Amino acid sequence: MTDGATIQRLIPEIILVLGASAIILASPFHASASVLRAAGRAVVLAAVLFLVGPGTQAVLQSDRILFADPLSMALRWVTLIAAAIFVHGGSRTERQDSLEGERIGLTLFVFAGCMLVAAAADLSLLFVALELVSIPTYTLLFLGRRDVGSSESSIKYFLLSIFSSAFFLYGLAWVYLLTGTTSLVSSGSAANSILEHGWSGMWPWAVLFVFCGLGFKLAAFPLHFYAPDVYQGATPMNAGLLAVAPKIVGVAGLLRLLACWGPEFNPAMVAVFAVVPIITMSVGNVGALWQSHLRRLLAYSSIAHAGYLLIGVAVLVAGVGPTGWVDGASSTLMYLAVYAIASLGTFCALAGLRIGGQVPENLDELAGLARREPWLAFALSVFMFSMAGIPPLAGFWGKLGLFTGAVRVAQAVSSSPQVANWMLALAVVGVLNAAVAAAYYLRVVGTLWFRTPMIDDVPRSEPVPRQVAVLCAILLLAIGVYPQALISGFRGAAVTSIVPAVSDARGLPPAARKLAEQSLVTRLPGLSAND
Amino acid sequence: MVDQALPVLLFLLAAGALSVGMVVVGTLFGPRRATAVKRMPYESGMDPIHDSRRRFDVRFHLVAIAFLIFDVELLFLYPWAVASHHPQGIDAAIAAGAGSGRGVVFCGVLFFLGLVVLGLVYEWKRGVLKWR
Repeated sequence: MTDGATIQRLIPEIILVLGASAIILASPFHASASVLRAAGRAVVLAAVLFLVGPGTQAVLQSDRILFADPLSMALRWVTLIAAAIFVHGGSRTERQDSLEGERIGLTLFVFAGCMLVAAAADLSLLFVALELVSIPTYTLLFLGRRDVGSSESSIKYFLLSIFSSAFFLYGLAWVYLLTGTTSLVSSGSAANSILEHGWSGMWPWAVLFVFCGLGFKLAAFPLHFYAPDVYQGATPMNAGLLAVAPKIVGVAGLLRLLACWGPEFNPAMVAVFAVVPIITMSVGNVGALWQSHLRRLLAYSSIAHAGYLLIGVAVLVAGVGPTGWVDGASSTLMYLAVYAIASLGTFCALAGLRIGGQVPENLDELAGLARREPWLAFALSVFMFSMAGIPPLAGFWGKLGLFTGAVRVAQAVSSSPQVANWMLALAVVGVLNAAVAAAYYLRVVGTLWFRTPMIDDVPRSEPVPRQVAVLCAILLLAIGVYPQALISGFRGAAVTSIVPAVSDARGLPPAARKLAEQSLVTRLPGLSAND
Repeated sequence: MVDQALPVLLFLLAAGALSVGMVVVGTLFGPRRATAVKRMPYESGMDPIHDSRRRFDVRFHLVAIAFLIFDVELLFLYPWAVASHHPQGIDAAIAAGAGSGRGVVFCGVLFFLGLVVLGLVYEWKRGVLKWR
């Protein structure tokens, strides 16, 4: 039901969409690129200000089309911070022509779509929001094309992405067929009654189709093949957008759908959700070891990070009690936020670099960057160390949360040895992968600081991307030194959003639910590793 | 159920019979004097086999896309026009508590029209409508 309150909650998204439309419309009227860039920043700032305003409420009502709970707020914040980094850092980096307004406007559309996915409480709204992310991305990739290779990557992404959207939509159609409702909250309880009254054979297939559709967005195995080619062909900023926006969307969609449907999956289903991250991590990290092209390397690294993100989703699926659900969801959110900052910072830094007037393509061209651009090299090193998960940085806390979550669920579900083994396997493979990943991240850092340039020319950076990259690096350092605020924030969001949703779907009595929530809230301030 | 499905069934049968019949009659009675050009796959008069990266004129596609937008607009306007005067249309829905009044519905449709007009302004300024 559309009413005043719904529209009020959507004000940040409405600002983004209207602002984007205005910027795109102003572009052919010969508005100068600097005015359009300033307008883009102002629109993001206005959206941030209006997101500060409204409070959250944790009620899940089946007649609402929007969630206004802490989970959606957390994801919308992550999106808006990413949007701010992207819109500010990406300025003056791409080819200068009359299409600057289109680029800014379409980017704002993508982030508005991410925020809508985080808030959607209705299956049809969820699909439309996903398309609001996908369709401007196709156009952005197309605008950034330079040669045959980048045209190929645009068309490749376009075709595969609509293919995955079809999978997703097919899954949603099955869910509607089985439950008879498009509301996420009521489809959860309906799904549970289906599982009790036959039809149970179709339900896992519906979930699998939806998982496939979102798995493509995350670039998870076996739907990861497009990533290296597309990143290589895209401009650095477009590659950054591909590395972050679809990940936010995939995580938001998976967490929300799995929490609201919340059925107790059989061990076979848990195995699917556990095997996918194991293979995704390994494929991404091993593939990245051999890469010499910068964006190809980062594409494999983003595949690996999709695998890490899916560990948290697997923990949520396997978790038998509120502890598992909260561990899974909150550690995924934490990892997503840290990954988004590190990844966007990296791509901003790369987009700002020029070597002989060109964007550097290969890792070798960055050799000796530290001599000419010490601050940029410092920022890039922080991003690499954080993505590798080296302790004093934010990425370490992200990985720690995921692995401890898996181990704790493994201990909690000792009644089902199969599920426990899968969870242990996730943690072990995750740790091994972190070690493999360190090899290629450190190779990048070594190239920046210790190698002598192969040719006389060393890349120089534009000033704005350098500032944004250093800011992102400082942010990662700050989160690494003091992660409690972010971790407990995401835990709080998971407790107030995920636990009631799963409990509703499984039909737990209110008293048991209350008890579960209280026991979790009292443990909030501590780190998940300490208790 | 059967009397509802009967027209559809008849339509399917007629369509199937017509298409199969045309092919059968054509193969039975048609002259067969094949030339190299006639044996090519037919694709709107273009040479169907060539390098897929060949440049082609996008003017037709731009016009087709512009047409599609206004086609979809009409698809949206027809149900609204019908529902606003139908006894079980907008008035009944408002009486049942589905919305907050005819004015809101009207403004919603106007807003949608405005969006499409803005799209038209954009493509006009970008020179899509100019046949160059």
